[in-house]
Amino acid sequence: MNPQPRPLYWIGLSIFGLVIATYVLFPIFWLFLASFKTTGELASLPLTFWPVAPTIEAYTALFDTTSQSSQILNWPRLISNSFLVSVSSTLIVLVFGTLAGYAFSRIQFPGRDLILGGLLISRMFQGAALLLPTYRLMNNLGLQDSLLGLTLLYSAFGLPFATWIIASSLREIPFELEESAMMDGASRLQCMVKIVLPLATPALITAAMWHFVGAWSEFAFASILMESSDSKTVTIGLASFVELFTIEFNRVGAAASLVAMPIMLVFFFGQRYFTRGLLAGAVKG
Amino acid sequence: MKTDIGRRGFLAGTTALLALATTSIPARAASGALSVWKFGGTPAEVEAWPAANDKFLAANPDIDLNYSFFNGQIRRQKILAGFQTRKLADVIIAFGQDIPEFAGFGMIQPLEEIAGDKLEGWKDRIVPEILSSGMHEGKLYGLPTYVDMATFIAIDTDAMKEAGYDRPPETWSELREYAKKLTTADRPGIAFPATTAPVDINIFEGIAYANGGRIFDEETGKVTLNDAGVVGALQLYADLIADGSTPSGNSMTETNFRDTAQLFGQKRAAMWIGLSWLNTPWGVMEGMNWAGAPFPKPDAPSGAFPPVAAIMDGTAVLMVSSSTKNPEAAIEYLDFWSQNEQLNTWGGNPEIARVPAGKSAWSEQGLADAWPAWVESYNAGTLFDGAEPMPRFIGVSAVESALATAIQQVVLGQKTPQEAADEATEAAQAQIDLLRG
Amino acid sequence: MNRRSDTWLAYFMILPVVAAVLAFVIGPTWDVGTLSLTSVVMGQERGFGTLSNFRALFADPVFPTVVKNTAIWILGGTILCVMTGLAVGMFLAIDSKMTMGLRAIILLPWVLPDVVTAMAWKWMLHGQVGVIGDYISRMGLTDGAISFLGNPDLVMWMLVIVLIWRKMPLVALILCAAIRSVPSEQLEAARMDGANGWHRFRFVVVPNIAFSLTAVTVISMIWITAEFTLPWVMTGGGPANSSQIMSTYIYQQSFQFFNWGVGSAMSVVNLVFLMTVVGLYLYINRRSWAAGGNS
Repeated sequence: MNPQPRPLYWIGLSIFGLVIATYVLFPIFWLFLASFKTTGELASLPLTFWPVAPTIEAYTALFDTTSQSSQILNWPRLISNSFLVSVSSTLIVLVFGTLAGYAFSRIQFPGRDLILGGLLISRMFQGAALLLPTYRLMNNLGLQDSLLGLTLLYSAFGLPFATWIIASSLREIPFELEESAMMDGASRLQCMVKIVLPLATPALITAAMWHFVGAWSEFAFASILMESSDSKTVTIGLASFVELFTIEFNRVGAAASLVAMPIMLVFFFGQRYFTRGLLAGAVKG
Repeated sequence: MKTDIGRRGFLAGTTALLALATTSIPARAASGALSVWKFGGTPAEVEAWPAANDKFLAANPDIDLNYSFFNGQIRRQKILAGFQTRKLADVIIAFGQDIPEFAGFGMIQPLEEIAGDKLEGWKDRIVPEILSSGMHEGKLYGLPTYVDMATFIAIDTDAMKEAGYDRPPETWSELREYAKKLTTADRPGIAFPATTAPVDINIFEGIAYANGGRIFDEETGKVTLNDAGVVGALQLYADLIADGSTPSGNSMTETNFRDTAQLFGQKRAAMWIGLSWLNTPWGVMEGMNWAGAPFPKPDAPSGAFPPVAAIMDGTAVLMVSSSTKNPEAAIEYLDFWSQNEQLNTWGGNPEIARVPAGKSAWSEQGLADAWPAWVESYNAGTLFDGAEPMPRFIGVSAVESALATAIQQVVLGQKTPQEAADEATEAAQAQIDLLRG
Repeated sequence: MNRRSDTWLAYFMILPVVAAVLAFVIGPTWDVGTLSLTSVVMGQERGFGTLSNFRALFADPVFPTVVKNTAIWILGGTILCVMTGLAVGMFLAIDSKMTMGLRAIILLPWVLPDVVTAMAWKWMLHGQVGVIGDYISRMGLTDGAISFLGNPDLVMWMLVIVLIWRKMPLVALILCAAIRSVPSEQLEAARMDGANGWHRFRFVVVPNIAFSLTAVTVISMIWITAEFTLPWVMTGGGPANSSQIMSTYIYQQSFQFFNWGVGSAMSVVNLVFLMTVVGLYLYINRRSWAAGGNS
């Protein structure tokens, strides 16, 4: 889309862009700035935009190992737990999502569309009401308060959608390549691994990042399933922290920045692939 | 030893006992695994609790303590989940208001049967009125470590003097007068929190109970939100708003107790209505002078029930799960928290700002410095005169939630106090009937 | 090209996904279904096969408000989310330095955990300490700050604005990707034929991105339904139930009141409604989503 260079058009667009940028970025920026303010400054009027006397106190307080609460809210531990769960469930989702995605896009079998639609709709069954039954289930399986249990649960939540993204993307890859390989005697699985997957990389990255973000920020199920301080995830820590320091937004801002940092790094490096994945037909017909 | 004591006899008996400074030597060493769930708390408490646990472990090396701290918000869902799967912790640290439901559902057990000779020590060391707040149907279900009381008022004493007053208001009509006079163009005379947060509801309940109101009558099983005492308290909120002495009603429904305390601390309200700790956990602007006082009394209580002086509840009450496999260790843990050294946590640290349960905590200098008025009236024996536990019965959350809706409707000016109270009564009654079957 | 063995291979390949969903999603959902038909008294399950939970639900005076608010939340939220997403997506599809920059950072709201989003917005929207009201009144647009979340007429829409803030960026990026892949020859041809901007959008762009539009609509709807933390932390259903929606009310009934029979009944009502809407939507648009691989 190359619009004609009319000044009025560009001014209008720029204003629209500014409005959108403000809407999207202001809240994050405001919280981020707050993390460098003192508690006194946050409580004083009139409100200040830039920190008057920038300080990193709020950040150092997070890692104050002399305090007892830092054992409960042990950030390095919380972050590594979240990382473990998010990364391993992402891997599970990728492997099984690809298998299923391949089947859904390449093989005609009875009930295919019905099953795919059913999987998609199942993503809705996740409200507050499922907390207790899920807890009971995990308990029966002996998987409550276990990172393995949380990983499996998140994988189950993430699989339908990942399958769908991957299936949609595989449809875009010409079938002829495989056909000729199969003529030469290659098996389905060989075709999948050697021919289709390399072409589907952007879609796989998209699905992976999508799932990673969801797993990283999930709170409700983690909060009820995880008990010991050794197995808690970062969002549980964040919620406790927010509850403790509700009106000290410098500390809340610092904790939030800390939690968001890893995921932003992932995005910083993955952004190009992510957009490419979307472009490559991950969600295109 | 079996102790079967009615509440009145219990009070009389324990007050007669001398407060003995005790050091406990465990009769037999408890051992084995012990799990403890603690929910929420102020930052200072979150610090203090695990620090004390270390001491407990040092004294009981054979106990394998598994202490879990949870976000306060998930308290009820976590306990419910644990109950349904028979995986409750041995010791649950929850609210006094939870006791009837937890006991009624069979989640927790009476302590008399398992506490043995420890019980006497608890009675010795804990203020009887506070210990009795751990009781339900004549049995002790929870060991309170402190209570919060409702309702109190914080007043900016500089503004008060400027307006020509030398003491905080003492009656509802004085309160309205003060609030009007303390109101300036950019500072309302009074603010009160009116969100759906439980603390905000407790603050209102303190006013209503002092006016002879109750929210539920256990004898008849009827919700009494439309009792004249409750309606009168709703009318007081409405009057304060109509007088123009408050921030807008809209604003108060989005401003909870913490936010209100913050506004007061920023000199953006000359008074605010809160629980006993008022501003202590969060502080005020430098150079600001303020005082706390009991909430003014109604000129003529209008409710059908006896007016109370205050209502109180602990938010760190230790309870023992009915499915525990290790009652000895659980009682050992409760007993540890009943020791003066632990209970003094709430006596010496003004940041924590709770009404301490330990008798010896009342002689701590920190408490006397932070709350001279409390200590004075405690020593005079009047602090708990006419104080009752906060509402507690099976279905309390449903009734309090309906009450919150009624408060908000009145504060927003959507309904008159009577209309709002009538509707809330009906809605809450339906919920209660459903829950109780 | 299909062989019989392929059918079995396909079932084998989808087995893990189907099994996981059956075990961890359908299983608990089935539990909720049975629980909704069980009467729960004093924390004990007393007898299966009763409609008392549903009767109690429909007799509840708050329930109609909840249904109305949920309609605003799900339908209003989805429609606005897709529409703003489409507008922003079109904008992002233009090549310029500004849009390149925006494309790189627009996903930030999506990666922030819900708890933080809710707290930050609550703080910013607060009538007395919030920055938004402060700026608006300083610009002289209003007389004194507005209590956005304390106003029963505004609160639902404020929640929707925060919801859109959180979900729109991804929708915009997906649609941006779709719009950028519209063949430029088609646009050029339309331009040659003298089609104006609107016509090019309506008759060239929209048909090309139809699949993506269907997809993001369904995705947004599913997300918005499952969303619980935002409204719960921001308003707790208040003031006076004016922002009470299904998910918060289910939570309240189940975990605050311990009436989990009624909570389950409400979940069932909620699910049936949603499955109808989404199922219908998917059926109508079945051509664009079903994976017709060999076609």
